[in-house]
Amino acid sequence: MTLSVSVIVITYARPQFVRTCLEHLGRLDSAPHEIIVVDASPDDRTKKLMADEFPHVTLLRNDLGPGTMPESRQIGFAAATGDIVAFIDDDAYVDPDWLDELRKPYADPAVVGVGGRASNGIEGEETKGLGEIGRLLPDGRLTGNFGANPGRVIEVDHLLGANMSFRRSALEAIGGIRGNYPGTCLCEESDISLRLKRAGGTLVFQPAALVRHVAAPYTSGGKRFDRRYLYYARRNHIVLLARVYGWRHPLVRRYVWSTIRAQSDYVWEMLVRFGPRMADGSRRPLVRRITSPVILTRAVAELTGLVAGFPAGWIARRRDRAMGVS
Amino acid sequence: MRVSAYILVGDPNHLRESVASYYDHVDRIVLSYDETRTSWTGTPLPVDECLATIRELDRDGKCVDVPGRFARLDENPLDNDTFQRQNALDAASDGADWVIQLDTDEVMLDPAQFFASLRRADTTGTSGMHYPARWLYSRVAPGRYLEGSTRFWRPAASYPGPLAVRAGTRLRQARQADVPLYRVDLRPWNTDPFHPKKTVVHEVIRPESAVLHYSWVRDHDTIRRKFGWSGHTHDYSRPVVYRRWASRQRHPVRTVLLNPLRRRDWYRLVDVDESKADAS
Repeated sequence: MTLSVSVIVITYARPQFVRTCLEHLGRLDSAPHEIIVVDASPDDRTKKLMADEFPHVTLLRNDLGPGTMPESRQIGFAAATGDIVAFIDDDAYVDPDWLDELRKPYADPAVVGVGGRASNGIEGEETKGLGEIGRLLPDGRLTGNFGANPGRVIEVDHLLGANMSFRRSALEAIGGIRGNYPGTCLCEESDISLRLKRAGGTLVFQPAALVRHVAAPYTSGGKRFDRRYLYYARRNHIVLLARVYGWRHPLVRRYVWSTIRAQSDYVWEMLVRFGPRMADGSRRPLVRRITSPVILTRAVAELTGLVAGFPAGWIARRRDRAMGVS
Repeated sequence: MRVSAYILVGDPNHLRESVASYYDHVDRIVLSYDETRTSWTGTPLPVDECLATIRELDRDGKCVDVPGRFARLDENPLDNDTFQRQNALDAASDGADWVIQLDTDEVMLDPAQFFASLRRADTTGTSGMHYPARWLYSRVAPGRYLEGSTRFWRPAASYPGPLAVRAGTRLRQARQADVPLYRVDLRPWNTDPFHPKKTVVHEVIRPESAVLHYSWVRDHDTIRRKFGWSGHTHDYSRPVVYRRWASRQRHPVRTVLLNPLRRRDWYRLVDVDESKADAS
């Protein structure tokens, strides 16, 4: 029996990307069971686009606004009726065989989640980090490298939010998708994967299920990898580990130590920038040397995020308990 | 998962203990040796003594002889090392998914853990497994050894090369291969002083589950000969290497206490259960 697939696209104020995304979904070799768009935009541009050009696609509304990607996912998941729920970002454009390739690993009943590859158009990404695709490392960090192509289906610990799918029954069994990963929403997708893995499921990476990820600009404020991003990366990571594994798990304290160790990079970079010579041997301007300590504000952002993760994790765990979500 | 192994036959020290530690877990073991019983540097090797030992423990007929000519005296010893290993690895790859490449002075303390890690490596995108070896420098008393460590006496892993590689792997030098590696270590962060600090660790095991590498655990005569036949003979044959080894063996406590003052070569004193070695 062929498993039916509901495709869920979550979006925030990027109708031009939603259009291209849906056009690609319309060109799939095998049509999905349904397509659901969950819109959290503050305006009605996406709503108008859907009514004008994609009336056959289900549009749902998330009124919580920016920074609520997992909440959007949960809204889509609650409405989905397929055996498999597949999530793709609005700036991720599928290849025609994406759905067929994504579905193949589900032939193994132990598989509860399948993630696909995201081509970001970066030179060398196919071979970079081949040994570290989607891992939760013993030091508490998560690796990405979802642009790498190992050439075969491999097991992973977590999946990329831009291109991931889950068996609906497995997701229901763990209580659905949890919210409370604010800001840049980092780690929200890993929460789903790690919980499923902890529940005994197998997650795999299927490189043949490809999306072209164009990395659209943030429309909810800030830029990729700015200080706000760094803050939420550390904060949400602590929240993630505490919620999935509990405070006493070694991963939490190892991650704290990993974060502190990582800050030495900024110190070194500051010292290098303070030096009188550039890498090419030319003289470094005095202003550049004097302002070299600015780089340390990135360390401040990361460490502040790390500390903020503890009360945030405590609150999130309390909410999880109150809602009965594992 | 089908697993083979190859061994380079020529060093009887710890041979029985080494092969016995993983014999039950592999399908086939390729025995590679030079037809003329000569080392990469032209010195004689006790190949027949080693083969006799292996025949004794090969109760299931897993061992396959693959002799060749590896003592190419006009070549660099390290190139001969790589040449012989590649020859053995190619032979062991036939019908296998993974090939173990353990030297005969390396003993798996916990084969169940080793093969569990290998199964995990098999499910990832990696093509080789870096499994930690605890490097024993010298035996200073019965059951008491100097072991390579961090500067402040914590256990340190050493990686002479991936101890398992996917069948068909091309070796770059000795056991080294330019393939994505599944890294097992003794802590969540790299413990090998010779590897970059940021090396990614995939899995952590206890030191008791590592491979024990009786690298320089030899008597004085044998260690001198080992320095002569080793692929690293250019470095090891310098007189200072032997002098240091002998001095540290004589003064193990002083050697350990002076760790913080040395830039490298750090040791700790450890107890090793020798009952298995005696029994085998």
